[in-house]
Amino acid sequence: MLEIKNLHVNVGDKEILKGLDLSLRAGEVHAIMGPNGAGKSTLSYALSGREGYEVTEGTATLNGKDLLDLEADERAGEGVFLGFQYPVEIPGVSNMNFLKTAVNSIRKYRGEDEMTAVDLLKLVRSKAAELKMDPEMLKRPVNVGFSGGEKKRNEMVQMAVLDPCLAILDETDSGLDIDALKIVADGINRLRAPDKAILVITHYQRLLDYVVPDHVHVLADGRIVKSGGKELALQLEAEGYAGLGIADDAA
Amino acid sequence: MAKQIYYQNDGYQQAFASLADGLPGVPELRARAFADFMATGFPTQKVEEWKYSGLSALANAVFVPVKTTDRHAEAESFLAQSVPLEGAVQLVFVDGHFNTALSQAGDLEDGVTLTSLASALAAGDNRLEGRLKTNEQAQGRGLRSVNAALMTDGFVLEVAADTTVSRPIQVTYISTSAVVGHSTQLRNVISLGKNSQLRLLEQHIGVDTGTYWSNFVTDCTLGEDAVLERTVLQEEGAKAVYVAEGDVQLAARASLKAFWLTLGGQLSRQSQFLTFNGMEAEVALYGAYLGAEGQSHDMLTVMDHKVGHCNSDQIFRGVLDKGAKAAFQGRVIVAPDAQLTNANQANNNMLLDRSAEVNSKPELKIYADDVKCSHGSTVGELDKDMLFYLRSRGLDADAAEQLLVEAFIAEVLEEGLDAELLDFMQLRVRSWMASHTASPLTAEADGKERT
Ligand SMILES: Nc1ncnc2c1ncn2[C@@H]1O[C@H](COP(=O)(O)OP(=O)(O)OP(=O)(O)O)[C@@H](O)[C@H]1O
Ligand SMILES: [Mg+2]
Repeated sequence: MLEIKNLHVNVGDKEILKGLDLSLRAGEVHAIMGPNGAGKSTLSYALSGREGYEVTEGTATLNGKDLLDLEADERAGEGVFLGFQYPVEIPGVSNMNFLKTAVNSIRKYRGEDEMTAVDLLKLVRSKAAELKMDPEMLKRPVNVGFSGGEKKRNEMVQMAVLDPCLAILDETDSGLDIDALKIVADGINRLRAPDKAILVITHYQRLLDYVVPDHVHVLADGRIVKSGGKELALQLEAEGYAGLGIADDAA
Repeated sequence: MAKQIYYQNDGYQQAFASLADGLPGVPELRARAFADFMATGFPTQKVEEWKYSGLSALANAVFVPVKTTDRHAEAESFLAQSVPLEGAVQLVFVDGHFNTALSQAGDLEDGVTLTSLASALAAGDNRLEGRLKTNEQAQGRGLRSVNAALMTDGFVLEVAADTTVSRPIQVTYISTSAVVGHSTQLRNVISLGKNSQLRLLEQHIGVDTGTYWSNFVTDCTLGEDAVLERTVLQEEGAKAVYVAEGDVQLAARASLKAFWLTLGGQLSRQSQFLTFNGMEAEVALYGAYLGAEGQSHDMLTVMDHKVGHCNSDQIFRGVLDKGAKAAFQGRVIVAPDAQLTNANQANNNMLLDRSAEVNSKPELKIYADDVKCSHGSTVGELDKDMLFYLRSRGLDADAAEQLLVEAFIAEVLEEGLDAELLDFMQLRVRSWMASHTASPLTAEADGKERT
C-alpha cells in the first residue's frame, strides 16, 4: 500500500534520509524506532509534504500513486494523516471550525458534497467522546493552552474524524499519562482495518503493548537498519540500540 | 508649507461659486475656509502626519461635489450591501446629499434631534457655526478647509441629557458617480448630552469604476457620563480616495468605543483626534484594515490626555497582500498634570507577500510621571508551521491562508464589536478575502523542492 524506495531527503544542505526503503501492506501496523536525530520525523514530514524537506532521490507511492508529486493538502485528500510530534497551536481558530474546514476540504478534493454542519457536529462529538475529550475543548482555539497530553489526544480526535487510510503517528505516545496512553491506543486500534495502514513512530515499547505491530523497524542514520516482528521492540527495550550494534548518536 | 499649484485653478473657484447658494447659513465661514484652502492646499507628505499618504491622485482632476443628484435608482442598488441592523434608524446620503426617500427616519426618543446639516442650517441653527470652523493653525488642515468651503450636507445629531437612544442610528454614504472628478464633502456634528447614550453605525459604499474623492469631517462632543459606540465600515469603490477626520471631545466619565473596518478605496486615510477634558473618561479604539494590490490604508490617531485618570486603549490590525501599503501612526500625549493616565496601543500587521509595505509608528509624548503607557507594534508573515499543519489536514493554500487571516482579524473584531455586528463584519472580511487576494502561496508551495 505504501511503498518507499531508496528515499533520500535533504534538510537545508544536510542529507538526513540516505536511501530508505519501507513497504507497508494494507491492514498492517508498522512501528519505527530509532535514536534521537535518526530522521524519523524527517521521514514523516517528507511523506506528508512539508516545505523544506527536499527529496533528492527515490520514490514513495500510496496505492500506486506518486505521493511526492502532490501538495500536502492533496496528500491529505489521498488519505495521508500525520500525527505531529509537536502539534501546532493556532490562535483564533476553534477546534470545531478547524475540523469542519478540514473535513470539507478533503471531501471537496475527493469530489464529494460538503457535510452538513449538523452531521459534522455529530461526527466530531462522537469521536471526541470515544477519545474522552471534553467537548468544551472543541470550542477552544486549536491546541492553544492545551497540555502536552491534551495536544496528542487532539491529534487522535482529528485522525478519527478524518479517517485516513495511511496514518503516520510521530511519537503520539510521548507525554501521555497511563490512562491517556490506553485511550490513544484504543483510538489507533479502532482505525485498524484491512484497507488501511498505520506507521507508528515511538521510542517506547509501552504503546506497542496496546497497539501490537506487525513489523518493527529500526531507523538509524537515515536508513532502516533492522526490521523484525514485535519482539524486536522488546529486544531494543532490554538491550538498547548499543545492544544491536547501533550507535546511539546518529551524528 | 510648500504651495502646490494644481488646486489653485478655476475648477475649484467655479465649484465654490456655484455651491455658494447650496448650503445656507454660513457664507462667511465658507468663504474664509475657501481662501484658506487656496492658501494651504492639500497636505503634502512633508507634513509629518501625512508622511505615508500622498494625495497626488487628487491632482489629476478637479474634484467637486454635485449640487443636486437624481441618481436614486443607482443608489438603491448599493443599499443591498448595507449592514442589516435590526431596528435601526436609517440615514442615506447619495453623492453628498441627504436622500429622504431612501432614509427611514422612524421614531426617536424625546430629546433626540436628528437632521441633515442642510436643513439644520436652513432652520438657522447658529450654534453650529462654532462646530464647523476650521482651526487655522493646524498643520495639514487643507482637507478641512476645502470640506468647510464645499460641504453640501451631513447630519446633525443631538442627544439631550439623560437620554438613551434605544435604536441604533445607521448612516450609509453612497457614491454613485463614475465620472472622474466627483467628490463628496460631508460634515457631521454629534453632541451627546450628559449621561446620554448612542449607538452609531456608518458605512461608506461607492462605484468601483471611477476615481472619486470622499472627504468627511465629523465633530463630536461627549458630555459627562455620555456613552458613544461608533462603528465605521469603509467599503468605498476600488479607485476612490477616502479621507475622513474626526474630533472627539470627552467630558468627565464619558466613554467612546469605536471600530473601523477598512476594506475599500485606493487610498484611504482616517484621522482621529481625541481630547480628554474631564477625568475618568475612557476611549477604546479598534480597527482592522485589509489591503490588496494598489491599495493604501493610513490611520492616524491623536490621543490627547489633557487631564488625568483617563484610559485609552487602541488595537489596530492589518492584513496586507501583494503590493498593498498601510500606515498606522498613533500619537499619545499626556499633559504634565494628567497623572494616573492609562494609555495602551497595539498595532499588529500581517504581510501576505514580501512586496506589501507597512509603517507602524507609535509616538508617545508623556509629560506626567505617574502614568501607565504601553505600545507595541508587530509586522509578521503567515506562520509556516501553522500553514503546514492546516495543509496537512487537507486545506489548500488559499483556504489555509484565509483561515489564518480570519483568525488574526477575528481577535480584534471580537474585542471591538458587539455580537449583532460581529457576524456581519466577519462575513465582510471573508468576502473581501475571497475577492481580493490572489493565491500568493501557490508560488511558495512550488518551492517545496524536488529534483
Ligand atoms: N531545519 C533543519 N535544519 C537543519 N537540520 C535539521 C533541520 N530539521 C531537522 N534537522 C536535523 O535532522 C536530523 C533528523 O531529525 P528528525 O527530527 O528527523 O529526528 P528524529 O529521528 O525524529 O529524532 P527524535 O527522536 O529526537 O524526534 C537531526 O539531526 C536534526 O537536527
Ligand atoms: Mg522526531
